[in-house]
Amino acid sequence: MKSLAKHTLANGGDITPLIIPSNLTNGTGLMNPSVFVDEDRILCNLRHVNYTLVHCEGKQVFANRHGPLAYLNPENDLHLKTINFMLELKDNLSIKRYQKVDTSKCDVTPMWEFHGLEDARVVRWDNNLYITGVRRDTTTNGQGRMELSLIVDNREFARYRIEAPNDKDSYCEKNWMPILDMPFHYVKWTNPTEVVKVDIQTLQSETIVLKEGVGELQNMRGSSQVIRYGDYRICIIHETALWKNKLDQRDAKYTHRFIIWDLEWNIKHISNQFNFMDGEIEFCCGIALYKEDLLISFAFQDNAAYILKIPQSQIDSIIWS
Amino acid sequence: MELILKQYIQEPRNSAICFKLGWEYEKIGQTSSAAGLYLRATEFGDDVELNYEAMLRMALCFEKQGDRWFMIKGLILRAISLLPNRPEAHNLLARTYERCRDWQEGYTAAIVGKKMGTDKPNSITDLEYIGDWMFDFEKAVCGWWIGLFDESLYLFRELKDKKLTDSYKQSVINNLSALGNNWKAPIQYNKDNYDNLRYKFKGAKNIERNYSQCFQDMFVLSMTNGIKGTYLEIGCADPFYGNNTALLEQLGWRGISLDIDPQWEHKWAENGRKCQIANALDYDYNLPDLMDYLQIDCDPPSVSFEVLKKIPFHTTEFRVITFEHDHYTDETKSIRDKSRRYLKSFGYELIVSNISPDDYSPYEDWWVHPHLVSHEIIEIMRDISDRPKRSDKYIYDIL
Repeated sequence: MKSLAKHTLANGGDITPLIIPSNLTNGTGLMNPSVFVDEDRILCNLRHVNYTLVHCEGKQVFANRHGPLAYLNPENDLHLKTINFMLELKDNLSIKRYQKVDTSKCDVTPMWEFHGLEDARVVRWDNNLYITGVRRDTTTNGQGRMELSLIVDNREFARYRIEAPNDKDSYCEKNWMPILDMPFHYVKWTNPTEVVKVDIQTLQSETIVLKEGVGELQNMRGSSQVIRYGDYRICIIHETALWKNKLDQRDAKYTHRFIIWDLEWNIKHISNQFNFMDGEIEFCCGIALYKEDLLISFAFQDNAAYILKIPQSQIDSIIWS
Repeated sequence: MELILKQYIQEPRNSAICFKLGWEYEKIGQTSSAAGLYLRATEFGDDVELNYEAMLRMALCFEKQGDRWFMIKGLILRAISLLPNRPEAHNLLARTYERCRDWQEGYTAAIVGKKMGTDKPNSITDLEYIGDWMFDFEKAVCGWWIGLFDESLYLFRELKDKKLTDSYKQSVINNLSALGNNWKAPIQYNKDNYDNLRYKFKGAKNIERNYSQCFQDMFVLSMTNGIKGTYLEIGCADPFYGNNTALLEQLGWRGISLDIDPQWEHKWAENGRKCQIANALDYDYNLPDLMDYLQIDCDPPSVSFEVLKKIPFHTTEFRVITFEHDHYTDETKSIRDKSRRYLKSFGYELIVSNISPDDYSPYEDWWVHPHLVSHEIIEIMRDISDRPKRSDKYIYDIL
């Protein structure tokens, strides 16, 4: 399987780690960055979690007693806590400034183990800047719903929790991919492609596009935003393989593909699988075009964040691979 | 970091590169990133030493994050399973147990670690192992909390004189300060122990009980074989409790008892005994040519030695001397040797060295003038080995 980072570096691209000082994070995971080009600024939401993902890859002979895949929380606090930081990046993609997203105006007491807005993607719709991801702390059973947080001066000014369009009782809605050139629209499912429109006044959503499935690859889950690319829209999705070992301990592997739609939401291409840095747990929350290069922000093992720059000359060959 | 990151991207399954990238992350406090890469180094690597170090680095990363003890212990144990004779993991295991207040486990791990971890440390990075004294430190801390007070204090005292890091040194000093002094209650002789006496001096059969802390009175009576003698007692303290001359006086001895602390004067008078409140360094020692017993017991031991030098040995001979050097607490560790040289220079012979109330606290030497004491008794009573001698075992000859 192709390592996208290796391929990119070999073809004139570059990679930059996204790191904020450890005194803000206690050294635990920086993950799932979401890059967004906001006119002439490069913004990036960076998720911080209070756990360390411990995932045995390779021979898997150094598993701990939790198994090959474990989320290592503090022993006295098993809550999974997410805090988001908004970064502004320099032209060379190093961090120019960073600031914790202040959610105090909208926060309420969490009711479940997972706290905070997870895997937030950055969008600007109708001249407002939002981060949008899943929140699971508003009910006692961890029900997940996509939320939009309106960000003004790095403060969460308003919070919109969106109902699922067809199944109001669904347990967890997540990884809807915001469509940057269609305000308040998401790709809810990739194949068969389902596009939903959300109304932040009523907090409802409705399916406005539902296509027939294409081929056999229908376990494709959302990842990045959906961006315009010429006469197409593109994104990165992830696929998951989940299983248990002989000790009934869970394990997982994620892989990734580019998806290319035409402007009518017909899937025109599904790329070959790739990984980012040869990790089995990697995740992408952001893609953006910047000065004709393609920026891809991703996490490695839930523990480190990077931004990859694919030069313009390589974009087509990669996404159409 | 960016260079190593690019090396990693070229060879993501090269365990040495994974380790190096992890180390770069750890150096800037990104311990989750580091831990993930260290784990990757182990899973893709066959170098046992690198795997050992990577497991321990993971443990140290989680230690920095705090409150991940369960995982930390597992990682360290796994490292020990790879290289059981390397000391670094054993040390971290004992330290981890100590920090978790798993005292029994920590004490045992320290002992096992010191015994097993005999290979030379050999790591690329600092695994926080400095020397095998670290096992003694953990043993001392954990031992205290499982009730091994004497051993704990002994180990701390021994550590205090070793070359430790500043933080450990301070910790040892703090522990010694917090755990208090080690004054032991007197171990009392009673008649039932007569048959066990090392030397059954004249009149021993009639003795009901004694008063000294560590059988000094029984030693003096043994060496002088029941005579009614004279004494000079410097640092007499309480008239009975732990006192070295109370029994002698009851047996007809007479002498001078000095103490610098005025509190004792009244108590001695209340108990029908007489002591002089005086500074032994300024005292006018107008003594006869021969006295039977000299006690010097001042604090700190440097004062005892200064007092020793004030005694007119050129004009007065003593049959028996007990000198408290407090070697176990003497920060200079010099007083014992100085006092030995000094007394030998006047012809005195060391009969019992390093008397201790327990197995760990050498605090006195006992001497005689060989011309004034029976050689037969000297042969019976002599024990000048270096080890601390618990006084009851000595006086009952059960060493």
